[in-house]
Amino acid sequence: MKSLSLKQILTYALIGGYCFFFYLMLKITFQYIPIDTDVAFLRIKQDYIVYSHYTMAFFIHVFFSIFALLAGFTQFSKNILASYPSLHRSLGYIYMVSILVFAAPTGFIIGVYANGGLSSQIAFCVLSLLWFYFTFSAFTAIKKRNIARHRNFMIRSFALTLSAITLRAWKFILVALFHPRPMDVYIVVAWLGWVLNLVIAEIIIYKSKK
Amino acid sequence: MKPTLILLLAICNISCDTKEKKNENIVSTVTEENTSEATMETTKPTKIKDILILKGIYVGQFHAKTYDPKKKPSYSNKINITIDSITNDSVYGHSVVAGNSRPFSGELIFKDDEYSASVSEPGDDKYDGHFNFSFIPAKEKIEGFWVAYDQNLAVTVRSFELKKTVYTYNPDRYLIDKKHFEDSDDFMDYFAELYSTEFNEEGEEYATMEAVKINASNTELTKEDVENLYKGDLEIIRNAIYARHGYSFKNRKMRYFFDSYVDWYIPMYTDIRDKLTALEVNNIALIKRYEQHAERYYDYFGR
Repeated sequence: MKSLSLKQILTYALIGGYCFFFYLMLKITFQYIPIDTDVAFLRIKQDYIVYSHYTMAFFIHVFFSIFALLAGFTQFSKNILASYPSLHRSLGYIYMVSILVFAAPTGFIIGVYANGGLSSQIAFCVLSLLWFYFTFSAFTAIKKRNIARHRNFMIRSFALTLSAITLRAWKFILVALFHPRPMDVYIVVAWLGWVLNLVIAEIIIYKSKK
Repeated sequence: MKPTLILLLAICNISCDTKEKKNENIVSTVTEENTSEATMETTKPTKIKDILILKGIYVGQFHAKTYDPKKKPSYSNKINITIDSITNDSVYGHSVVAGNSRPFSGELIFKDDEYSASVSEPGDDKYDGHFNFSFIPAKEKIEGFWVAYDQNLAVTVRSFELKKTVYTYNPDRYLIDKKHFEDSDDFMDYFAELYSTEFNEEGEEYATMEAVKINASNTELTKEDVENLYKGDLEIIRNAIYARHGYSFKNRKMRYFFDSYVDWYIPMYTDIRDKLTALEVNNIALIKRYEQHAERYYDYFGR
């Protein structure tokens, strides 16, 4: 029997960890099924749910982002890419459509109404614009068969996709450590949740060029 | 602990007004307004003439004297003993304490130039008992003891020394005087105590001076006013509305807080839902929304 290499162990740990956080995200998503505007996060957004464009954008964002999270993770598997290139392509389309058509534009709309004032509104709007830009660039790159560019922009795009998880994880950590006031922590994680991811993405891209 | 349920759980008690009877013959020439003035001058109440001045609301701490520490007794609660009607030989009234309003009736005794009362609660409530107290009209006080019928209760004897008070609903009341907002380290200590382990079986909670600065009875609160507050702050701001209306708290944590630290607070009623103003009702709904959100999500993975 072949023993597992360190790399394999890390890969399985990564998949396991991702499944855990994906499960948490799935639970958050299912809170809104059946469609309800008086549950969870929306309970403190009662000023805005009267705007149908806000509510529509919110639900579209919630239900399509989960597809981006799931499809995006598979795109980095060398196994799938090598053995099942058509699966890579199909899931890639799901990822692109989920973000470019649904999750990113709606992210911008709900970002305009973000809790925590101007700072977090800018944070979420910039996040959604970058998310769209990176994902769109990854799409056009592969259409032009520019694989290196496609890969780099997918790393950036997925780093921002992951902010759904990291933002909530940071909130959990900061609350556990410092017991900040609820809106104070919200403003901090609105930035921390994705800027750090992007920095790590750039480091990964930079290192892979060498 | 679900403070939001307090109101729902509050049981409407029967008022003692029905027992107000046949007192008209004592009124004679003295009206209630000038009787209190009369007390200041004549320290000794003479029979019949001054007897109506003994009526009123007496408020103070209800201290445990005989108790079983293993049964988690409440060592001290604020009690309101109201004398609703009084005749030459009888006393009718009710007490409000710890979310419980109970009628009592019994004898008025005149002995050694002093009036005292020996009154009993009906006995159909677990916490009923017998009061013995004397009137000290010169100081506008009553003092005495209460003995429980049920000797297996956590507290079987309590003592009290209560001051005559007048209750009015005042929406402009803050928990502490506004001028102390900046130098009130004391209140921070209260909060530290209040939110210490004794009342925190579900984990840590926080309350800060913000809870004292916001008055939800005279100000229409917005989302911005409440969204950055701790759950502990929200709980106090909301319960302060009930306290202004004289709500007697069943919830032990809130009772301890308002009984011990809020001077103007008087427990008057066990159900104040129909006394809330429209402004207060709206504020309560808003605050509850954020309280529930904080409870469910503040320290969880999520928003």
